[in-house]
Amino acid sequence: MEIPQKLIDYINTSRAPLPPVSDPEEPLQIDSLGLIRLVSFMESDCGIRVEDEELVAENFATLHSLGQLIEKKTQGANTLS
Amino acid sequence: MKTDVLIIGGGPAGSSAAMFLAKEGIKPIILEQEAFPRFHIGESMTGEAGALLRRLGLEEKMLERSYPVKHGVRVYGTSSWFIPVARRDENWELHPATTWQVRRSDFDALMLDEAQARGATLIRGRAKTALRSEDGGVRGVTMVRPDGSEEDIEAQLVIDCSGMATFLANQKATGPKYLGSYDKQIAFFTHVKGALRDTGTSGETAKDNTLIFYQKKYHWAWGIPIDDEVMSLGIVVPTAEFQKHNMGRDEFFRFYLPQINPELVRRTENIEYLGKVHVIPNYSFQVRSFCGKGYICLGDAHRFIDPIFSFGISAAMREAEFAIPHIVSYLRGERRDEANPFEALQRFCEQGSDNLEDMVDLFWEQPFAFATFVHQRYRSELIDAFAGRVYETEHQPSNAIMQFRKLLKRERDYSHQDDYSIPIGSRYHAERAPLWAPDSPVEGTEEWLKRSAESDGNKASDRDEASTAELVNAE
Repeated sequence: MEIPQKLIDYINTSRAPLPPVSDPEEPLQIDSLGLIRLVSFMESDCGIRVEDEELVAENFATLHSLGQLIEKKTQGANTLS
Repeated sequence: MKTDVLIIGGGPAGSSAAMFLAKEGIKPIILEQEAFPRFHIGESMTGEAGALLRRLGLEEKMLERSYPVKHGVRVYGTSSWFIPVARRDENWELHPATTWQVRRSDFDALMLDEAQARGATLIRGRAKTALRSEDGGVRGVTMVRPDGSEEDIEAQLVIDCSGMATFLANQKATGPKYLGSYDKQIAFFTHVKGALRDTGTSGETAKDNTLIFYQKKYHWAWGIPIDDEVMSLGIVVPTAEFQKHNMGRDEFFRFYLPQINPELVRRTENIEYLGKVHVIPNYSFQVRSFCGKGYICLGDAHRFIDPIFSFGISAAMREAEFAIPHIVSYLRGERRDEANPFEALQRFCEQGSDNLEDMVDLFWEQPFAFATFVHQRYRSELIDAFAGRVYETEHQPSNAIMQFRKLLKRERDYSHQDDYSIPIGSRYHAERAPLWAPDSPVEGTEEWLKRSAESDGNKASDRDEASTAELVNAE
């Protein structure tokens, strides 16, 4: 599963005033409070449950790492939806 | 001299033990070598510490002294968050509550005076050696008075409240003393005026909350208001960081303070130092078998994990309260034949400390997960832990603590009394989790201080002596 567009939109909004992410390897630069909100958004709006042990900053560092996390989760059918 | 209960050390552990014993009609002797008031670090209380003082009937006295009221802990770091002080009612529902920040010289004197007013006898003197019984237990101490004269005090029970001086552990009356996880850290602290506080009257922005600042792992600072003007300010860094800069401690404190966190910089731009900078290096340790025939160690006398979440006074006073029923039945003659008459108490206290240790470890190992737990997933469980509710009788270990262990890949098993709570060992030298004994190749606090004094030169030597005195003053 790819990263849902609404999640990418959410990330771009929470990064403002930084420009939208253009490179999957580009650091997302979301502060820790923003990351907590991001996780909350993933769970409530995207149906992607983030397990406690997945709450490491590296998983949310870039679109690439986030995509890998989501990929791993969908392979394990580990979503709420 | 003979007594039922001898308490070594008149800090909060000793004086609260004496007050709880007095409620049972037991009037102990407290042996204290320092003339109070005296300086001591550890100024912040958890919610449960405040509740305990109320149970001792001391609320009015606390209010009379106008100690700063703490509504919670505010953390500024890579993750920023606030944890309010809250209490549990009889249905285990959370309600807002407050506790206090105290100037320890004043608070400890208040407690010791109150313990005497309730029937404890205070003797000025230093515990020199432990008197041992044939079965390896403890039956009293030899004390030295300020004039140098010695006398034996025989007791059915010796309660070691000597703090970091760990009198009974040093006497080898207990099991071995191990290095703790944070033994390679060093703490510097002093009192200042002019530090910026928040201006609210309650909650997150209350003016007298505990402030914690960090950015880099293991590099942090605290700000704890101790009256309307004065704040206790401390920084904690790896000892290697201090040694690398080759500075005296006052110089290092001023140099390093602005490097911890921008919010700390903002709050300390115009501070005035009120005294010297104190230091405690290598503070983390753990004593095994800290209860046994004729003895109990309470608070810092058996374990010091890390000062970051202000659990010191809380653990000391709560362990004193927990110990009372065990002491009462022991004095009645129960369980005298058992290898460790206080095994249940020991396990109970150790489990509580382990829960705290797991919490501190996860804070540093996985700050993002910790912050998410605080904000969302385990908020009420963490409110409990920060309030000092970490014991078995308080729904612990909670789901949060169990999850901490999972993330730390750590298992805790309490089924065998000989092997629970084995120290995890130094964070910086994992191979060194060895015994911290007088003949150990590992440098202990006292040796470190002595060497530091020599290399600092004469200018710093008076400060080192003062710091050594702080470490051993409860002995």
